[in-house]
Amino acid sequence: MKKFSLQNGKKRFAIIGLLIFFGFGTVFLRLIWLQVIQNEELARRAANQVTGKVTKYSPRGAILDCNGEELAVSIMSKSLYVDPVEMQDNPTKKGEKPERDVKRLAADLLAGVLQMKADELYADFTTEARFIWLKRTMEPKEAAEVERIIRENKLPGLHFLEESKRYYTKKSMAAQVLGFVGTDDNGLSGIELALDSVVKGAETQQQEVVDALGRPMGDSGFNKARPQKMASVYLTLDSKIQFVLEDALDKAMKDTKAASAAVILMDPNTGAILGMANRPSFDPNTFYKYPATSWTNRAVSTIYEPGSVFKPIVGVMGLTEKIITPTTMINDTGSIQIADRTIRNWDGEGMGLVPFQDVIKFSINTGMVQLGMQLGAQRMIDYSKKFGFGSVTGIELPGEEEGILYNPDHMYQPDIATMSIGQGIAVTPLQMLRAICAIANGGELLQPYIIDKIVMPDGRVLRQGQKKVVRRVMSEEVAAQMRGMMEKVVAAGGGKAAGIKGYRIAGKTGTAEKLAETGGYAAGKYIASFVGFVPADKPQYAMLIMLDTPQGAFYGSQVSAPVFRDTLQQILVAKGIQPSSSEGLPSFEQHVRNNPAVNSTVPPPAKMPQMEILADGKIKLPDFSGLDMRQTAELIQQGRLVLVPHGSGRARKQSQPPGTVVAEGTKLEIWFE
Amino acid sequence: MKKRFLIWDNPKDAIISLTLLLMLVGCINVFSASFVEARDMFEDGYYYLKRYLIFGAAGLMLMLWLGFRAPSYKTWLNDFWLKAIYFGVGSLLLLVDLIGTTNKGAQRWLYVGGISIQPSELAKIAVILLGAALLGEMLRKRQSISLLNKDTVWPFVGTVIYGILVLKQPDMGTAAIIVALMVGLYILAGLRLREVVGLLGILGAVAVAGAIMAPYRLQRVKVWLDPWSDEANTGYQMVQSLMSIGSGGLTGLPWGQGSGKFFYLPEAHTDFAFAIFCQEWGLLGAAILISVFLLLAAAFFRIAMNTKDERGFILVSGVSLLIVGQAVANMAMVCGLLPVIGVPLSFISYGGTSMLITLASIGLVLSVYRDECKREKLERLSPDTRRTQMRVVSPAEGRWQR
Repeated sequence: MKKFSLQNGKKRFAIIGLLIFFGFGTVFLRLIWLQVIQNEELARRAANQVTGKVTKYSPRGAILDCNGEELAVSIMSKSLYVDPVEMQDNPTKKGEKPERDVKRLAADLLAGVLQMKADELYADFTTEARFIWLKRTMEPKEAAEVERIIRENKLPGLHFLEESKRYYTKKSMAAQVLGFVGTDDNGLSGIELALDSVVKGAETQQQEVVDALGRPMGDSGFNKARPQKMASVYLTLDSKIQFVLEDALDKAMKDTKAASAAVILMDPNTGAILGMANRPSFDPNTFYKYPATSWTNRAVSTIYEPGSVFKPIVGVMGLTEKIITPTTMINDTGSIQIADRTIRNWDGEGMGLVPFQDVIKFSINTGMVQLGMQLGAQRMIDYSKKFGFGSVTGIELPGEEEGILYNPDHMYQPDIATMSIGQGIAVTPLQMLRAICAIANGGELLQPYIIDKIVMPDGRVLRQGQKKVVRRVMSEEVAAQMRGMMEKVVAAGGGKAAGIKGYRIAGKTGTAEKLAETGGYAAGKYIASFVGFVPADKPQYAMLIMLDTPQGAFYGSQVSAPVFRDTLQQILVAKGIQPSSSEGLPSFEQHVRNNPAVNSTVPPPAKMPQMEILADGKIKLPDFSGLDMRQTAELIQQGRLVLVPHGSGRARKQSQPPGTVVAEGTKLEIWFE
Repeated sequence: MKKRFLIWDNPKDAIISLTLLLMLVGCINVFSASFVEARDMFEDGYYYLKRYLIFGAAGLMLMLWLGFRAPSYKTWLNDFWLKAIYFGVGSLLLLVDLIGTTNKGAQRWLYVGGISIQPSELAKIAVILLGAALLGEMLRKRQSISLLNKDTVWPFVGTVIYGILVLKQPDMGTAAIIVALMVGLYILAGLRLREVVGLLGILGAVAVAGAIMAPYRLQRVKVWLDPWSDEANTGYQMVQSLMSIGSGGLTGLPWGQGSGKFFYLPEAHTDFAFAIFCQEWGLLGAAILISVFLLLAAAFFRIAMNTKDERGFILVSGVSLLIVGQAVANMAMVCGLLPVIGVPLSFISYGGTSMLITLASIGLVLSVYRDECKREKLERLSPDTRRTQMRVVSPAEGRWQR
């Protein structure tokens, strides 16, 4: 046999090379078959398998105050669920480790992070169900931790869904107005309920490209469909005012130990609700931890007998019907007998012959009853209806009550008498305030509103809240007369405690026996209220404060009027509304004139101090001394603090020394001289 | 010898530039095929790309060193180095079986200082060196080579031992490649044709017997012939591969947007990287890639054909079989022409050790070419000067020969 040589080897190599060449040729033909001839079919199959239905959740629309400050916002958060059937390792392949008890392992690993009992989790994992929620709307950190555990241990059957989670940024502030949201993004109360369909996060099923695990191919560029954004709701509420109201209610509740309370601040010229607070309250972030009674927005959902607060309304009836004028003399005998009932003044004392304006000023029951009897049942009820009592105001809040009015045909004489002093009629705080606002604004009954605007993500305004006159309920003249009378209430009458030095304030106190749930009156239980507006001649703010069953002192003049004073004092300063009279309040010019030394030596400070806002949002207080009230208010506003002024003139002393670092919303007392 | 090789000045330049081209394509494709999984597993989409680049750089340095700086390839074929390499790799294989790292049900990796190495890949180059040294020597001596002759069967036995160690991992694919590689070298070295036929016969008989003895093997054959018949289970990978390739069409999907790698196609960045490549670059891209491999094969072929050294010939043809043979096998498997066993596509599949040994083996080919050039230069000179030149030009070589 011929010996095999290198040359023979090379020949063989050439043959092998040829085989390889043909191999590549075959591969190429195969590729033509797959990529050209079968292209459509295979591309369709590939597309089919990557197309999955993905449910996209858009976060619920935000709720903001009139200045755009966020009150309620939603972010997408992850919810964990388990498919117990999937929860097992693939059948063991040869060479693989023995099967582990995935369910037990997962339960033990996750119990800590989820703050659940391992055995409970294990019980969930061992059911026959295919879908069990484990924890919904998790905090991002928590979800990341769970994801890590799932990945590191390759735990099957655990999945996440994106859900919208609601955050109420200011905790319990305006809780009853905002309401709250249940786990399925359902608004359950307040604005959340009323505007549920507007702000509710959209849940859109989309055809989307998904990976083999059914997850959308997120950041890969496939994903064209982005979740839509929802509309934002701007309320007429002003966080700063709301804060003051909440704070005032906290204090009032502490001082009076009342069972509940409500306060409303309204712009009497437009009907916009600037603040609305209730007690008891709750934190909507964790609403389920509070009793359901704390969720009630008492400002619109409780009815009560207004008592003396109703007297100005009856007075307006008398003025309009020309039964009386402010100066009509009325004989106050201390008590008055109507049929079988005797109605007394609060102190039982009679003042003798007084003009009608004093009847309002001193809240004289006998005088009011005399007027009421002249008005009669029909007119009193008709006027009450005209003032909006007995029907809802139409504010955009759920759960509004209508109140209760007598049927005039069924009214006995004593009923007429008691109604003229505000009893035997049930109203909501909002109805009462809006009727008083009609007096404040010159006679127009307005529709109260709390939604400033609803803005679509593209900037389109879906709805704009605006002043809406329901009807004129009195002439300008009558309104002016009643304002005058109400101003006297605060200036020299029963509402002195509501007075703020330098400001003209009109108001009316009221103390009514509380209706018992069983019918009749609850003995020893009173509702103390105060309603008023400021400045009396050109009202900008109208406010009603209602304290239910205060302990100890229970007269509206004692417990409610001071709340009015304390809150409005802060609001007026914060809003830069100047005192209408400088009585007792020397202006800067006067001050300088009177004290030339001041001009030459001390203030005004060489440099206007600045509020130093630190990186963490805290505020470093400057030295206020030497500043006048307006400059102080400006600074305070920059730092979003709450100013409690004492006296007037130039700042002399501040409750926290300069350089103190405080949080936003801190109360700062400043003494002026 | 004619130096020019197509558009290149010489086959050496061709090999280097084709290698660099393949690495460029490879790292683009590995990145595209792996970033989804990498992001999911390591929270770093660039995880595999980074490793590809590190191993690529190391491999290139090794290639250039072996090709231009290191002592001639003949050095590694001397008794000492051959034994060192054979037993070194052998003990690594044994170590893998004992303490290797398990991944996807098989122990294939050894961790050395944070780097995982796959000794079964090292076995491939060890087998080529074994073949080149022993079979090349037999070919030079014009020995009659037979698997039935105890003088000439040693390289085969040595390879089968490797094969058994690899099979234990278990990694049947690599074991088969290693043995097939050696059989190929035997054929090139002059194994009698009837023994070749006999081997094929035995292989066929074993296959048939295996299929009869274990019905699941028959099922595998059935799935290979028609993967769609068991689309969800045993045919899954093949079906995914076919869908990935098919959906690429003529020009492919935009880069990065093939769907296969989104956990649909298992081994998307390793053994099935070619499917991802076809999906994103289309038939056109595949044709170019095949051409590059063919050109590389042609360059190897040129060097193999020109070498006068039998050992060099076996070495170069072994490397050709390793790189180009594996390539055609991988492509045929990925597009469903052959039943799937784990064969990587050099440069396109991710694999650190594989890339290192591929580049090292190319370095050896360059070394063969370097020696050939030297020899030709000497031949062109007159016999007188040749002797002096031999001393002057390569003193290092002389030292090794001593």
